[in-house]
Amino acid sequence: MSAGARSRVQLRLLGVVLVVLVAGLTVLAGCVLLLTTGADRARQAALGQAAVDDTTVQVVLTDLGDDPGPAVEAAGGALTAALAPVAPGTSTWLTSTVRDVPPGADGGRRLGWLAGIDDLTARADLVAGTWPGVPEPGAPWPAALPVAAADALGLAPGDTVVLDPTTGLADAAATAPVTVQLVGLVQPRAGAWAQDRLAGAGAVPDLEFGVFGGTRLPAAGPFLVDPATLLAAGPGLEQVALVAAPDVAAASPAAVDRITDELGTLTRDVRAAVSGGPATSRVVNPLAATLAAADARLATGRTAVLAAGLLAVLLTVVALGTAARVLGDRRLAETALLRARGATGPQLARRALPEAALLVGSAAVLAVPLAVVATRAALADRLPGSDPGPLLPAGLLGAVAAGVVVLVALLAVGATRAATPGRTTGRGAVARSGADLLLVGLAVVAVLSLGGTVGTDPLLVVAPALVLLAGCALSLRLPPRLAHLADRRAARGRALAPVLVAGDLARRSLAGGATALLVLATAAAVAAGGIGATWSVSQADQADLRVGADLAVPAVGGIPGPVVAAAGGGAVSPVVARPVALGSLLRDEDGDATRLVAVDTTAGVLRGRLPGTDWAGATAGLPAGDPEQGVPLSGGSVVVTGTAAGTGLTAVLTLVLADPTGARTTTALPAVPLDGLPRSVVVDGDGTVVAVAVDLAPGPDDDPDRVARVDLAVTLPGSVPGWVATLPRGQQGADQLLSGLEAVDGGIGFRGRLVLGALPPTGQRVLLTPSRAPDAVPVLLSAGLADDLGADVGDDLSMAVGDTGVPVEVAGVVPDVPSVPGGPAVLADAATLARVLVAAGDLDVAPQAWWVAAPDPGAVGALAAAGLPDAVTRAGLTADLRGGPLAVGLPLGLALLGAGAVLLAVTGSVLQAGAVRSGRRAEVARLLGLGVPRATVRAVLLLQHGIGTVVGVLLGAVVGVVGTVLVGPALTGSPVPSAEAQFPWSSWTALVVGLAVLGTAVVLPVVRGLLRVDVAGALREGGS
Amino acid sequence: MSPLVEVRDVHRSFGSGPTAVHALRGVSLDIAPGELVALVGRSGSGKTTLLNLVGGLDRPDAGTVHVAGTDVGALDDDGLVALRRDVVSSVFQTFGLVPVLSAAENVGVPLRLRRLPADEREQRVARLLDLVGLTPHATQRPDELSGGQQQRVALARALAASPRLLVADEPTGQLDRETGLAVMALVRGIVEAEGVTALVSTHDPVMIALADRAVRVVDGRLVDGPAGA
Ligand SMILES: Nc1ncnc2c1ncn2[C@@H]1O[C@H](COP(=O)(O)OP(=O)(O)OP(=O)(O)O)[C@@H](O)[C@H]1O
Ligand SMILES: [Mg+2]
Repeated sequence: MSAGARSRVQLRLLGVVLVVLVAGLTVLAGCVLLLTTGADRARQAALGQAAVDDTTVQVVLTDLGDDPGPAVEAAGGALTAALAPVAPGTSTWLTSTVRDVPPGADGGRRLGWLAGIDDLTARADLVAGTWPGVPEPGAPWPAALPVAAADALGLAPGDTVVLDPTTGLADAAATAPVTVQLVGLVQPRAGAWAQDRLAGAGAVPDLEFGVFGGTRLPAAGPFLVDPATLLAAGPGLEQVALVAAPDVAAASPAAVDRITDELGTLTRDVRAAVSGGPATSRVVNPLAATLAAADARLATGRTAVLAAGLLAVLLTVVALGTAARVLGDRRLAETALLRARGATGPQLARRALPEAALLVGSAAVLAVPLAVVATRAALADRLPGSDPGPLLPAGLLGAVAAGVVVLVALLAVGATRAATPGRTTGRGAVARSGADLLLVGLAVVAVLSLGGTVGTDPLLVVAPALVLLAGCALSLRLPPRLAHLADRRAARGRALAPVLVAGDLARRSLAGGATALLVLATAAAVAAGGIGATWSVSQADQADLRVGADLAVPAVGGIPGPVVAAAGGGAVSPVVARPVALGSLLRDEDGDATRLVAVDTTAGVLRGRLPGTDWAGATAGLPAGDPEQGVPLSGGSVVVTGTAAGTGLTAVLTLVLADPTGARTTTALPAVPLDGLPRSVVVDGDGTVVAVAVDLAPGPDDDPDRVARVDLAVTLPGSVPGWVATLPRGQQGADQLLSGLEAVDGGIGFRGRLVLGALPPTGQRVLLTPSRAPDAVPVLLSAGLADDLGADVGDDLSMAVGDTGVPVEVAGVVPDVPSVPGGPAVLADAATLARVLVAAGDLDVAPQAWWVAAPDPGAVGALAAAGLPDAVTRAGLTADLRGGPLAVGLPLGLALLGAGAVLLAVTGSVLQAGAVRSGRRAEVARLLGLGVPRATVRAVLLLQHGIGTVVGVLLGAVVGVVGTVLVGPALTGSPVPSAEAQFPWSSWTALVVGLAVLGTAVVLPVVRGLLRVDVAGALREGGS
Repeated sequence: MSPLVEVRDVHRSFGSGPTAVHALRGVSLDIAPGELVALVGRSGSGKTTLLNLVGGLDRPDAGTVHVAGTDVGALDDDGLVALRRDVVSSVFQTFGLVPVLSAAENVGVPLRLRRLPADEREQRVARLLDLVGLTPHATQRPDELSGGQQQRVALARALAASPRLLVADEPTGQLDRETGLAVMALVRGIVEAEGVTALVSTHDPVMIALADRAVRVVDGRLVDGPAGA
């Protein structure tokens, strides 16, 4: 080969080395950027999107005593100190105890209260008059009222009102009455009145009031006065809320880090600050929870990015080692000459240092801007509005510098190493087996100890690299074995090409060469795809479980099922979701209360992964009892005829109505005297009557010793078969109070004997239902709850729903109950639960939420328009979890790794093709010289390279799939439900086919060139 | 009988301009069928160049080379390959063994090209290896053989194809005297037994003696007789 050709080949090789270096350093730099500015930006964007309520910090002071000033000042100081790095404004919200407002026109008692808000103008708009100012000494306090409060109280600007301390409150005696003069009306701004007693509503008809909240009175307020004046007045303050809403999204990352630490000790600090006085402090700190949740999710991404970065470094080192070895081979003669002249290894490496430094240096100069541009573009897309941070963070420069030093050393040593013997020596093979075994052992240990960790787990960072490396080492032992078999077959055959192909594959060493790079890079690319898919599906699984249905929306009182169904567009189920106590268990180890979720299990609304079955199958056993035949009632009236001769007994009927979705509401009818006369009562509401509760109360003059015969019939429009009459289950001694209870034949009604004297003030309840309720509610338990209770399928337990005991029977155990991820929960059929609750006398089964199956595309908007805001869809939540700012690390890290791995896999093929070009020239000349047809030579070359490539890619794919299974789920963090490895076969197939075709194709021009070899010239050269 | 090899006024030079090397300058040579011709000459005189032309590995710049009636200069690359497969067998000066194949497999290559049944091939390979004294080394690969052993494998391979024309470039160059003698006797024997025509370049007087005649190359021109070898 001429000197020109030689240096041309070397230049081409140096080009490959440069590509490897640029690819490796770009992925490394990209990962570092994701870990530094990327994570900061993600947190910033997440905080920017967080609801205001989730980023506030509030110190609430109560029991303030006669002189609240110092405590308020001290607590404010502690709060400001904790948030000093972001220097937030703190607003102070003073709320007085409840005062009596002079009676209105109807003479009834009404309540009001005072409030002082130091940033009132930012929380309300002035509608009339002026803002309240500082009072003149001795004059009434200027005050403003929300418009709704002024309307409710019938007050207008200019009116003067005396607010008296309400009797019955602890420090009423010490509190002076306050005279205020109304100077203005305001309209509270939405979302800014969380600290208000009525959240800015202005007035309620029934404020719970009194020591035990036993009294309910109309109330309106607050009278907004000068806060300093209210504070200085001393006694009569109920609470002071100090609210800070720091703009953490605008704060620097370092400042956010600092306040994260400070907030951890805020409760203690505030308590210490106010410890001199009587005040009690409470810190409400959603910001700390928000920051902690953000950090937890970022940690998952960080682990994955670190693992991807490590894999990228590993790949780069392997690729560089391969390229350096090829380069070294090319310079073998030169090196050998220098060695013969007495140059030592280190001296040779030093000689090669400038070239290596130049190469790696240029690669770094290319890679850093490439990584910066790529990550910035990707992050700007995913994290709009976040501050891009420094162009070249210190961490990036440090990591790249370290990478450069390592790569320079590797390249300098690799390209000047002594010639390696063609065949692995015995000792080399043993050492390789030992190293392989060690790798496999380490990988096994790593995989076995994975899982369950939160935050950045070093084991998880190294596990993917270990697993892929071990898989590679193991898998590379396979092809020579197969090739030996093929070789033996070919040797016995007639044709020439098979011996040449198999002989080559069987006898050329694969490990450490370009094939090793191809296998490892393919494995990394396949694993990146598999882990990405695993993560992505896990986000959908989490969203499914969290929402529970395609769409979930909190119920708003008074909006019935048909309205929800019309707006949502799909099958609708009312959902009862309440805390319950099951058996003796109130809370699980984490302090979570057991939650009851009751849905219409026949509506098919439940969603979420369920191993081995689906929700329809799992909940098939939950509805119990005979089908319930209610009586449709559309407005109109019912006729109640009751007799209780010689008594003043009255009956109050409560109808339980089910709407077409199965949602239940109750309608109480006016009291009816049991005087034997039919009374027609107008029913407000429509639906199907599924139960009637009759409360029997004695008249004022009734003789307590009497036993009265009671006879009551309810006539509903249309014919009605005989209903069942029962006493509330679980009511002790009810059958002695009301003995001989029996239903009337046909229709709705009962007879019985009532002991008047023993009646409680609320009366005795009789329940009329179309049929007997089931004895127990079949339920599914969440696996954790079943574990905690030691409960098995078939066990009977008692569940307390509110004050009502409900017998339940364990019909099954599911990993998680929809909408209660990871928590203790009970799933029941809503109708069955309602019937058993009614049978126990508990009629309150209004839904807390609505779940919709297969909603219309515009369902969320339609529901909001119908008065049901806050709908969540599982598709929407999935998109949030996958595309939200905090999820940015893992997919981008994997994408970087995948792209780098594909490039390096192709580089592996190019190096292999290069080896064909340089190594096969003599062989091709010899074969052609012997008269082997060119077509045969071409086929042999293509097959040798193609089979090597395809086998390498396939082995890499197998290793990648195994890697996905072993580390994919662990890399997705610790989600609920736990992640399941995913197998994206179609994209994997595309990747493998692409790599195999591309890797084989790169040899085509090489082969074409080789076939044009000058046979005589090449034979003259000899050598190999 | 017309000659099997007919070389007429052949010129071959390498490179161009002032650095051009005129390796052959008007060579003419006839070789009759069944003749064993020794080609002698000093190193660099043009022996290999002439053998390559006769062996169908190269084309003349001027003049003609006919082998078994075929004009070598007029053949395209595929034609040359076919000529080498079917008519001429060469023992290259650099041996030209296929590195991944064992000694036996190398010898078997021309037989596989003819798709000889495996049994027949194995038998023939074994006999040839025995003839060149390499039976114990049959399974060794070229890089595990000595230079002389490789040379004998190359000769056995060239003979395996039963060529009409054997072109051997210093086939005993790497051999000790005794082995060289045996190998040359073998070539002579085969020429006689199978009617093969052979052109053998050599420096060895014994080989020259075994040849039917010797031609000498001096500076790219043929000079008759072995004188001065
Ligand atoms: N491919 C080539 N490129 C350039 N010059 C060549 C080439 N082939 C042969 N030559 C030159 O042609 C001349 C004849 O070479 P050739 O190989 O035929 O000599 P030789 O007689 O076989 O020598 P030796 O006994 O050393 O093998 C030499 O000067 C050589 O340098
Ligand atoms: Mg020569």
